[in-house]
Amino acid sequence: MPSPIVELRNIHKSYLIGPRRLEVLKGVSLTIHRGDYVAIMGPSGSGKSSLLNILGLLDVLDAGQYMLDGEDVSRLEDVELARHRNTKIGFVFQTFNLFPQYDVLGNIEVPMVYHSRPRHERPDRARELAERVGLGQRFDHKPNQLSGGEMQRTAIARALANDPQIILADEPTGNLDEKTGKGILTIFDELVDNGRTVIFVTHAPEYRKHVKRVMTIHDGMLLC
Amino acid sequence: MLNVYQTIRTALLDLSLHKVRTGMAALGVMFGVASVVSMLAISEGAKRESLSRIKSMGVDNIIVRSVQPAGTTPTANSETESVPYQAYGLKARDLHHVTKTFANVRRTAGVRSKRYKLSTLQDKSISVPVIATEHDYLAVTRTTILRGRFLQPLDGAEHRRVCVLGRNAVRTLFAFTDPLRQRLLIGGQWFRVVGIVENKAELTAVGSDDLINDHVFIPLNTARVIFGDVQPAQNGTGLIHVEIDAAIIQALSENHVMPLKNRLSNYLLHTHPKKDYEIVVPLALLRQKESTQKMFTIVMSAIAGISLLVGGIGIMNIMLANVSERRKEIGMRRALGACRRDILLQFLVEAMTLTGLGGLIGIGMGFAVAYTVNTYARMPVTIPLWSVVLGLGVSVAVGMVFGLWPAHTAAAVNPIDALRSE
Repeated sequence: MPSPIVELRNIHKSYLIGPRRLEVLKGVSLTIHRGDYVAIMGPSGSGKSSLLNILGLLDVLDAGQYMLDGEDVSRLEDVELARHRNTKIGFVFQTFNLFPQYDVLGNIEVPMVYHSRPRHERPDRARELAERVGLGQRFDHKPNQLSGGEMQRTAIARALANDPQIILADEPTGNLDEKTGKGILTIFDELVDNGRTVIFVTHAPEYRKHVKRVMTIHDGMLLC
Repeated sequence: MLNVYQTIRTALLDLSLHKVRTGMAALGVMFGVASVVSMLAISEGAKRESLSRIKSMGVDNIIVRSVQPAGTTPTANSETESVPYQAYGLKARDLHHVTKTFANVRRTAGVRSKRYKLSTLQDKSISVPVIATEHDYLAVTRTTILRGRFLQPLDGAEHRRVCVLGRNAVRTLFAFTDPLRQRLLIGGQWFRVVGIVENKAELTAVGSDDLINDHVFIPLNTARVIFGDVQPAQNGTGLIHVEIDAAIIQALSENHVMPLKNRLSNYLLHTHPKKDYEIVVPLALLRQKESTQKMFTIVMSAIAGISLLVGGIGIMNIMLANVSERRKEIGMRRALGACRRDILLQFLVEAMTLTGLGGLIGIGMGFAVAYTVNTYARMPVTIPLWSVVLGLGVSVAVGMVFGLWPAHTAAAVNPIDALRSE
């Protein structure tokens, strides 16, 4: 058995809301292996988003331990966290979050800039990724000239820019119609087939048909 | 890592999100830099012109001019003569006394200048400025001999009719013949050309509006003997008697100028009670000019500083607006691998690009203003290279200083909140 790519041990996280401390994660433990296809499901307010933020190294945990690819990332500095986000994790959001001032290739190149990939390699790599997610030849379009599906395909290509092991997708089809959403989910299926680990955070039941494992979070605790 | 060109190109792309608003914000810096460049151009131009005029008199020289005493005119002595007549100004014996007895004097030259109709043997007849002077004129004005010789002491002592031509006078008088040993008709008398001189600094001659190079030089004593000291008054009523129009007195060094000036004015106060002279000290003028120039520069810098401050606040304002509007972008960049420093640098570079660009346009506007002033107000302008460098440097610095706080705000944005916000 290879070492798990993600291992959370007894994670606690609380937020101060006004004078009150609200405990959002109450001792979450989970293990995700390489090539896993996981959906973390739960109603809003269940601590789903907080878990996503911690998994994506956007937030630091109060107590517990987070092992990412065999490395303890529980207590790292800003620069180290940024480096891990840049190379090990790819984010896909419900609202795409593309940069309106850049065209498709420019958007895909952003993570490469922070990875200091040699400049001359970037356009070729971006073009290759755009083709892989089925963007055809719409390389020089700005986001406002793209359809929703095309925007999400761009966002997926951007998430893949530095070839990360893990793709974290937050409700990736939430803003798309059913047919387009299916197309997007197919891309994730292919990514898993190619050995990547995909983690969905969602409350939509249609993901169940695609993933291998479903974890349900309720009131800050994981029910498996 | 990131090269400058790429960084600036990205910054321009990011700024292009709000072209109009960003352009308006840069206006302040633009006008600030334009005023810096154009004001410097005008003041440098004025400075250069007045300084070169002062320096042309020589900083180690003192110039004494003969002037008609204030409020007097030639008057007729009713008993002896009927023609109005007035004698005033420096005498040859004054200059002689100064040259022989004053300790701080290196050399002196008396000067009389007048325009004459000149004729060559080729029958050319042109009005040319003529200076009657002495041997040491060459040294006090730092003029050099091109050919032949300059006036010698003996030329004056023996009242020889010889003349020396300035470089430009050669061109006007002898276009096609070798001027040396040619004869020249000055004021009805034939003079022989013995030399050609050149003033490399292109100075204006004392007591004249023309360059030294434009003049013809004759011995002072010869002129006094041939033409006499009496001539019609400028306004046409009567005669005036002036021995020397001006004297150039060279001190031993710059340090001797002020003691010499004091002794000279003391001497002239007693020998010329009618105040028929004027002492000009180029060194003092230079010092005075430099100190007023310094004041002017300080005032101008303050004005330019205020306009740049206002421009900088405008930049800070627009960058803060940018940051709060682009929180989502900042959050996404953080998610994609930017650390806080990357975000800080991004917004700092954007601010500096914005003000640098404003500065470049401002420099162009400054050139336009300077050119307009030069063409329509006929004022001399000089745009020194350092003012362009200063303009650009200051505008980029304004971007850096006033962009720092917004950039800090951007770096402090919490990516989780930013990504969640709709």
